[in-house]
Amino acid sequence: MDESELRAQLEQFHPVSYGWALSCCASNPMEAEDILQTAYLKILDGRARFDGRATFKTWLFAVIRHTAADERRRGWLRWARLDGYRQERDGDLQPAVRGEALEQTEREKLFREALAKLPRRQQEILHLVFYQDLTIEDAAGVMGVSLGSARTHYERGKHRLGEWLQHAEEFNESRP
Amino acid sequence: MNHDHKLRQKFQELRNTDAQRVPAFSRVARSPVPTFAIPWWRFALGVAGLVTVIFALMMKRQSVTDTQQWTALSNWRATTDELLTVSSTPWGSTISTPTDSWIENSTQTNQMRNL
Repeated sequence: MDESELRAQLEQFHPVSYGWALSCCASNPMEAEDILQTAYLKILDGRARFDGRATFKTWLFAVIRHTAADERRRGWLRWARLDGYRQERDGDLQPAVRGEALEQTEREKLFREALAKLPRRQQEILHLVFYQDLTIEDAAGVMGVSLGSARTHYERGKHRLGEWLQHAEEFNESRP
Repeated sequence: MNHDHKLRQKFQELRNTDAQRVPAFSRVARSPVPTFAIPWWRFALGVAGLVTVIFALMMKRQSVTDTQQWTALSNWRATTDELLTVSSTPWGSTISTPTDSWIENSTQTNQMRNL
């Protein structure tokens, strides 16, 4: 796959990749963009190569996930290195960030918080299955775990989030 | 209780919200502005040069210090060196100590005993 093909594929999956990147960094838009940028560069530079063993989307999500994990590990270094870039870019982002804070509903915020309280693996599998419409098998491929392990995370996460939903509904119904 | 439908609905809401704030692909796919644009080999070369200069300066300083130390050693004189010259002066029989009288007295006593 040459660079123009890669770019076309990346652009096609860009919106869903952004959603996945957000999920990998606790819904922080700036961090999600940084992660996505680093992942795209890795792919376009050839440091990450698509070998066709999985679908392009699954492979791309795995690259984004690995990048997010790397960035978490060396967060302080990244912060120092991209400080200049952040300062330049923050100017562009300010209006969007302010707008999104206003338009985010309270319910969504609470749901994101409940999701963030789950263990990372459970968050990931629920996002991949319910948000990205991947099968559990594909999600296991993205997460780099066995199918059995993915199923366990999926069931546990779904159960806990389901309980939270039920409590939230009960709370809402009890309100005058 | 099966929450699949509700969960899917919730995630769909998140997806709709996130879709409104997706940054432009062209912005994300461009290279970040490098704030540390020195290639690694230039950096390594610079560090090596700096280490060499520091090492050379330290060696030079060490050599000057050594010379100064040896010069200082050859000029050094202990305060007791003066005593060495004193010992050769002919003061042997001219200095008397308070205990010399004891020796004289003891000599007289011995002579009296012998008598």
